[in-house]
Amino acid sequence: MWVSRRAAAGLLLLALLFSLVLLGPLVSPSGWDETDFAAFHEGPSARHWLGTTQSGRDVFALTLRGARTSLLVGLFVAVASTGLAAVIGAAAGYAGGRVDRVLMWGADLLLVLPSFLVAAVLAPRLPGGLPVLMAVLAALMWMVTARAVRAMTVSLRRREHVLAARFLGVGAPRVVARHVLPHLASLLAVDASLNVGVAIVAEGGLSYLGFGVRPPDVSLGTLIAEGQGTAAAHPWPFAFAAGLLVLAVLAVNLLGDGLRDAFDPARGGR
Amino acid sequence: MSVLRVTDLTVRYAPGVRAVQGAGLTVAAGEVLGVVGESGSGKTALALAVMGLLPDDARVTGSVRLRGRELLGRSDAELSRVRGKDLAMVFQDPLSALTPVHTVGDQIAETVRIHARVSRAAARARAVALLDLVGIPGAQRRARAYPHELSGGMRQRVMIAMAIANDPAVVIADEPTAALDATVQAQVLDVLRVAKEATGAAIVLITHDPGVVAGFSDRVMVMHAGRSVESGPVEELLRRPGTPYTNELLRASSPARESPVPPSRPERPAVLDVDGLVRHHALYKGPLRLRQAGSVRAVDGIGFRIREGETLALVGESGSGKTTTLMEILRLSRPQGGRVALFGRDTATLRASDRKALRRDVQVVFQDPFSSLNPRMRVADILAEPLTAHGMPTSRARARVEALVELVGLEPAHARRYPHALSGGQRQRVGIARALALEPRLLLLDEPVAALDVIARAEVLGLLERLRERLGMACLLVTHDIGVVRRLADQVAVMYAGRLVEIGPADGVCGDPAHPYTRALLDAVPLADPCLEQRRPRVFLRGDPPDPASPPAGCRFRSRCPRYAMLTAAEGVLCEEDDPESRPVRPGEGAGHSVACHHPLAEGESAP
Amino acid sequence: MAAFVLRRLANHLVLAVLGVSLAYLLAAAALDPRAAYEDRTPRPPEAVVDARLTALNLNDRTPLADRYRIWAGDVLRGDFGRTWDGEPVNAELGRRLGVSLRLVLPGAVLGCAGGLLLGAWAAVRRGRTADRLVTFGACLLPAVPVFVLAVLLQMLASRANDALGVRVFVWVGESTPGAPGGVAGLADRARHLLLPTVTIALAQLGVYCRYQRGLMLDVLHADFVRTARARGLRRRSALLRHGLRTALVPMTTYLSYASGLLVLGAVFTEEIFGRHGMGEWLAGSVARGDVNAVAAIGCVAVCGVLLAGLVADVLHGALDPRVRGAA
Repeated sequence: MWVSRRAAAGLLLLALLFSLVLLGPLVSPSGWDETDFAAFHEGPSARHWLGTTQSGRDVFALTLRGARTSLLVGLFVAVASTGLAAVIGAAAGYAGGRVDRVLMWGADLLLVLPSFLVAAVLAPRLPGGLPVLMAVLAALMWMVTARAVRAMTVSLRRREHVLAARFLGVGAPRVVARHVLPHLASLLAVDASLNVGVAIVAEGGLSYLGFGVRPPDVSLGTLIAEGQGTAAAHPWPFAFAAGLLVLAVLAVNLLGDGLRDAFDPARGGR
Repeated sequence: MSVLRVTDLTVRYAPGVRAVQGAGLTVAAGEVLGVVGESGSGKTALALAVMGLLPDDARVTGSVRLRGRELLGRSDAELSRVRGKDLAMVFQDPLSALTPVHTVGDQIAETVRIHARVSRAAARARAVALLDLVGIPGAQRRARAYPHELSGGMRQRVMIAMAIANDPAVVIADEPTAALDATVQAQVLDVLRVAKEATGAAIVLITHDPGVVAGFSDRVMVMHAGRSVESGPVEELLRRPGTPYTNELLRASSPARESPVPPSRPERPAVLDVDGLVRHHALYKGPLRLRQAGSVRAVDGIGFRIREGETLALVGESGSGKTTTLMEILRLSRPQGGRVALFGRDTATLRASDRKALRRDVQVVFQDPFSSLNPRMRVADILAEPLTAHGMPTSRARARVEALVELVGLEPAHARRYPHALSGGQRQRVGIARALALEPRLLLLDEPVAALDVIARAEVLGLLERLRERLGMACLLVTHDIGVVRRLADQVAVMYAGRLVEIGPADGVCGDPAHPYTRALLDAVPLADPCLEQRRPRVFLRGDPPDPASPPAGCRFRSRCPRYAMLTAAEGVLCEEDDPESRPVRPGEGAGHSVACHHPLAEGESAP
Repeated sequence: MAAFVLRRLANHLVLAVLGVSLAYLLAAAALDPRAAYEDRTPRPPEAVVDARLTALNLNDRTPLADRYRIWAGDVLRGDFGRTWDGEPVNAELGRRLGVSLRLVLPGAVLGCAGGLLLGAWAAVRRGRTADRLVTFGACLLPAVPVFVLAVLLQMLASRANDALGVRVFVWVGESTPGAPGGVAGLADRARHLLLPTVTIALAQLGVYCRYQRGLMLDVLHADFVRTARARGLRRRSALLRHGLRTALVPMTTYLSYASGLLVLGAVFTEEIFGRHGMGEWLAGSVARGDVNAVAAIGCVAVCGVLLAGLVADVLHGALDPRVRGAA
């Protein structure tokens, strides 16, 4: 399939980020959990490529560790929330009637609730650390996609080739698998990749305010919060963390937009 | 003296795709030129090139002269002074061509004010006068309506009013009636004629239907593959076409039946028995859509019977409930009211397993071959799906698919393609092959050729006719096209606003209709022969079908009935108060032909 | 039109009651105000803490249903209860709501209008350099979270201040302490508002711009724009008079989504620019376990989102005659 230039750029950027996050710690002279008591708040050097933090930790290694957490959260949350959206949206759209109304009311209710409030109240108080944080985020992010999936399923159900299959005597699971799901795939792929960005920013924001990842774990959000206070004098910790965050979100947004263009050339931005 | 002269026009899209290759035409003042061609022949590109409205990536060469002034190569600003003033256009689909968020009156008034310095009030008055001219009742009120509040025929009248707002020299009408029913098409063409006489404009009428051209234009140009194939005065060209292509086009547009209508054989068992079928759609309103505010009576108590090997055509305008009837039959479950029996079994009593088994014997071909085939499956997989769904092993299914491909006249290579790599006619053949895969005893055809071009249409009709002959299945044919009815049907049932108004043998109903509505439907079909077309007496239907949520009391056809309009008050009472029941047209001659009308047309009275 | 609004209102009321109740129940069940008392030194006796918590309707030993009943009864009388340290929530809410609105509204309006205009403009000049620049910017901006954007702007501003040698940009608080009233005071406030407003506007701008550009591209080749040109309008006026309004119709749906984003953006903006508004209060209240305050903020947020939804519906109805009769 022809993939747009944007999607290619996003993919490339994402691959670079992943290789940096995975390979960086192997070549870095310092570990992320080491503290160098000989160097507080130092600039870049051979030993500490991007300098050290206020408490003497290596900025390069620490930030890569944080980026790893953020990317992990982004990927998992996006896949989980998009999966949830696909199941709920397709069920509502295909079943129709009462199932549809109940599910969409639930979605509306969650959309009305300020998700930041819910996440901030719940996430720090549930035991289980990172996996639970990811589950909470996923549970708060599926609604908009689910609505889109539902609308598309409803229109697909009325399409003649789906009707034709049903009138040929093809069973419902097979109709969904062969005639409905393949048409949803593009929508889901696009939304999943855009949701990666939303999830990364959401986790970063929560962690920034202290409601997300807890020490000793680090994420880009906590690092930005830490580095921000001294950013004027010592820009490295803040700049590196913020830069990685922006690049990660930019990469998945490019990928998502590019995929949308590729799947739907008539509507694309190009 | 020609007002518009196009010479050697070529339109190219970026990657070397030529839509128009050296086409030319001339139109004299007050003349009507018909441009006939199939889809893809470049006729719309030609029209847009003349208007200067092609997308930016199109390259146009040649010459377009309006009253001797060259239009090609002029700037948007210069052209905008010509467009809408000297040169106007009527587009095909009036719903998408009118801005949805402005009232039609405002849009017409705007057209006036673009080119003339008149006050807002004067422009509005002119808009109302124009709406009146194109025959919109209550023009003052309708001027404040939004496009979505008007019917298709009304919208096209608005488009025409807009086109003639500034007394143009030339009006280009691109398939102005393609989106409309035949009865409404006849009305709109009449309005176009009125508009022409009111303004003296020359008209370029672009259409795929030689019948439309025959009754309307002075000269004809035939387009094929971006070229003008031939042109000439309408009588000469349509009677003695000079090229094989025109000849084929004309033959295809008036399909003649290849096999004689077999006499009805009542001794044969019934395949489909429909009795008193009802389907109402509830209309909900209010907060949370809880309050039922009435119902749309899509199908309101109809009954008919199809016997083995017989074809019944269900005919009517769009919205008359034909397709709903078909869908109700296909559901194979208990209808809201009435009874559907297939092969003697009442669908209300079927269990899930029976239903699946019965699906083998009842198959359907849909109208739109673009949407009825899954774009992500190859033709071979599409054809194998019904076979494997009913438990045929893959190896046998493969052989059957090959046989099916051949049966419907496709090449073996087509089986490996995706639907988008096929032409419309080829796709519809795939749809037919899929429906035939399980060798059904009853085939339901929902407007099987409505989405096809003239020539593909004739080919697919021929195919259906041969297949029916060879396989001997019964067919229920839903169509709005009398030509298709004449060609395929043994029995005809005419539907209007959810009811059957006339039913009987095809030659009886088409040759000697008893219901005024049937007569009007037959009259609305344009003939490709200009002499016949211009001379025959015609009865036009006024207005639009009634709102299916609140049909009028008494006879539902009353509001548009030409016969009711001529009745005395005493005679008319029956129509106003009594819903007519179906009864035999000629008592004593068997129950073959019946009509639901208080004042049916007498024998011979309706002969054209 | 009035009937249309009323119908939507009834729809929303049920949703609002459910949403607000859920927010309270969530806060009451998950937050732990007792911990905040018990952490005090010296540690107060348990009976005292219990009595205090019961008086504030914060006692986790009272069944949740009972607490909810008391709270709901108070709210119906227009009283959001008391904060963790006994202050009335209503007074604090009023004060902070004012701060937040003064902070958020200018930025939101600016961002929305700017985004729409920029998006439409880029679509019309599709493929040219201007379009490419706008598209790139609109792709980059939403990738920069508010908490990064705000800090970056602060850094840039302090650089600029240093370079100019004058404090042109100020952002801490709503106004300079001890500033004069009158026109000078207003100017001072505006100066303080500049940076946060730009932050919020930029955060909104990218999203709106992207959507609007896409929608405008859809109508660029719409049949009715072609018809308008066929009637003699130039391309530009056809797009403005017939395309723009139609392209704005789907935009109204995004408005309600964007309002959620706005609330979120306000939290960070207030936190970073040191404004004592709703967002900062929320972050603090959640940390302190202040149930009544969190519930009150939740109530305002739910109503705000629904109100934005209502505004979106009204705009939709006003822009598009096709929906007025339905829904």
